[in-house]
Amino acid sequence: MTQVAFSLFLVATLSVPVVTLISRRWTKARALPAVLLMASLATGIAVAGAGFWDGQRFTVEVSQVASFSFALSVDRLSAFFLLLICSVSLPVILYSSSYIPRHYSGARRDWLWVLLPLFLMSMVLVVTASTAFAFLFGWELMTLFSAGLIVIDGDSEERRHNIFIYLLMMHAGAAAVIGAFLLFLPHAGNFAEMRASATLMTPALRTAVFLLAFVGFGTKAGIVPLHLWLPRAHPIAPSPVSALMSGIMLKTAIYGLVRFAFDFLGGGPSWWGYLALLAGGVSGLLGVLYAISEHDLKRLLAYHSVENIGIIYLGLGAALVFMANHAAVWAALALTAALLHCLNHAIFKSLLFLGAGAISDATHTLDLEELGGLQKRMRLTGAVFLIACCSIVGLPLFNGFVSEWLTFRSFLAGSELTDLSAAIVLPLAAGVLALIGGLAAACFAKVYGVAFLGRPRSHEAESANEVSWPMQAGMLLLAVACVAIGIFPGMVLGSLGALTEELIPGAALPQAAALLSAVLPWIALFVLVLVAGMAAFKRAKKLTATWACGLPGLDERMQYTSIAFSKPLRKVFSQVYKADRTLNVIPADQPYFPASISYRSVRTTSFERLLYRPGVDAIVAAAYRLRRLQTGNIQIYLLYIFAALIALLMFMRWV
Amino acid sequence: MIWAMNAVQVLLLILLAPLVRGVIARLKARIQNRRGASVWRPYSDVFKLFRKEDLVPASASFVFRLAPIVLFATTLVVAAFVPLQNSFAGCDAVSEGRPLRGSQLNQGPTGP
Repeated sequence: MTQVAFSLFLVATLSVPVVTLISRRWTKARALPAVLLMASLATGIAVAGAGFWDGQRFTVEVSQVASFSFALSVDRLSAFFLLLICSVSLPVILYSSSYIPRHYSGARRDWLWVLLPLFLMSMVLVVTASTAFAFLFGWELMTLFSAGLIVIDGDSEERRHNIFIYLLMMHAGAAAVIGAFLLFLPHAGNFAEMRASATLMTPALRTAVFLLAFVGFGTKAGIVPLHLWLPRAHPIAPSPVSALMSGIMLKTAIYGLVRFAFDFLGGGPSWWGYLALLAGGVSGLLGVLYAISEHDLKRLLAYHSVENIGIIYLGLGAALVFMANHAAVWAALALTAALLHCLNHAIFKSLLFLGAGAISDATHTLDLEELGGLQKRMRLTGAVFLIACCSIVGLPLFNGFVSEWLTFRSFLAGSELTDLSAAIVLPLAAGVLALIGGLAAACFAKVYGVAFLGRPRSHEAESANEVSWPMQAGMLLLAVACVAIGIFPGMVLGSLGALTEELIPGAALPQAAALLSAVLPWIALFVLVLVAGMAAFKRAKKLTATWACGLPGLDERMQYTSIAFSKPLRKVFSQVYKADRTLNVIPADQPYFPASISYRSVRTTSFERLLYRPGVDAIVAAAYRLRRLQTGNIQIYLLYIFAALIALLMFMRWV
Repeated sequence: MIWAMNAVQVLLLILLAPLVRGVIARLKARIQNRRGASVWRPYSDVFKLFRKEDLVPASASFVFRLAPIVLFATTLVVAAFVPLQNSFAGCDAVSEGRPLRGSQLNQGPTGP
């Protein structure tokens, strides 16, 4: 039954591009692709729910392609990520059903409806594949379709450069992933064989598999310093596509790492965990610090994806350290926290990107310095954006709190380990996580305060109107999910516990998790009753103008700007930014009464310059030297062929 | 019984908070060689402020009105969940298989 529904889901999703192209000229059927895609995603949610909550397993043998077996199979881990993909993309597609016709027409709109379902399908393929070939097939398609979706918005020189960097890094990462699969040879057929052969591997080979998987999936996930593509590629995509890329596509990398490190290899020495902790801590801190200094909303959100991937890696690292120290219970808690944060981040980050899309839809800008006062003009968008902000900074009663609190909990439990280095490192990582959380709170206070509160800073922001109802409905669904998981985490925590018990032998979710899900609804009830009670207490109220320190004529330029708000933090962490400032005052001899004044501050610490540039230069230099091989002389080429033949014959003789 | 203790704790927190402020202000004044106001002064301040009308700027949104209420409510709820007994009792409760109360949330690890 579930198997049939799963096949139906696959077929329905794949039929959307065909339907789009057939019904292209039929104006009455404009909404058909969106409706069909949403229906198939609803089926997908039902299937994934059966797999995740009821623990059903099912397999679909698609075909025999040459000597490669191509099969999909859904176990609990796959079902969880399938649920994540389907349930987050459903509201995004609902939003797109209004967003896409408003911004795209003709061929570009058709291409969006062709590529979106294919992109979703490739991600589904990645998380449900049970053979190496199917996995890598989906992995490559995912990169190509997302690049195609970015190109739809135009292909200026700068955009082409960004897409080039995206594709280049994705292919480098994919090469590492392919390498990790090849090391399983000759058992690299399906996942069950790989799982069995992993136990027979030498420790060196296991380490090689882990490192290749770590680098390969880390590139896709965007951990520092492999994050270079992320703040370039995400902001230039259409907003719903950014939501899908940031919310869902990054999570397929986490799926891959969990599949390799926990399912195939079953954990390893504790330095694997320290490596993940280091990557997570650095990504989290640098991600949030770079985000604070941004004032382009979508770039800021992209850096926050780096930060949240860092938090997920912190959880995964803690789980690996606990497994190496035979503390299965705490390993289960850390892994549960990391997986739950995947789901939570998928929900609130896509909500934030959809909110950014709504802002640009209403005001035609994403520069925070030109926004302001949007809460009064876009009531629902503002409210759901506030919910998303509360979730991402991990305030209690919102979903981000649950996963971050569980991560904290597992870190603090690390002090009980007998291994001294783990007992020191894990509580320290809790401190890093706390710092990340605090900085994220500062950053989103800035985002919400500058964009939605106060007075509009531009004419566009002043004349903004609320977006259309499908866009509102899509955002509202995601906001409801944020609050629901924040108050009733038990509905996913229980099954996530069962999932980690399958991955980590001898584990059981500690009482801390059950306790949290038992107590949160009560806290929510108390807060609600108290707030409602106090709000009902009517008091005399007078509407006035804002006090402007006695000056006449309150001006929107008297407000805090985004740059000014982040100044104290940028000052504290100036070593991270090493800002290069230029101040231009015209005319220069009148510093106090200038005709015009401009200020520019650029972050100079970039991984591109420090880490990538030397490597790129070396490769280009090597390529120039190798060019001498290509003389254009046919006799030389014949000599190459002859030499290769001789070399091969000699090789065969020896073997 | 424990619920009653929690309720008393929350009430005490509300009632004694201004007094703490008053004592601190008085102590500061004494250190700076001033006489300082009475320790009961914050109570009359609160009483006075509660009788004044609210001034709401025209450009303010619902956040302006709700933020103080939410802050006050969450502080009270957090106060209600601060543990009362010492933390080792909580650990024993876990090892004996008894359910934990919410007020033991903030305590150290109660692991395997």
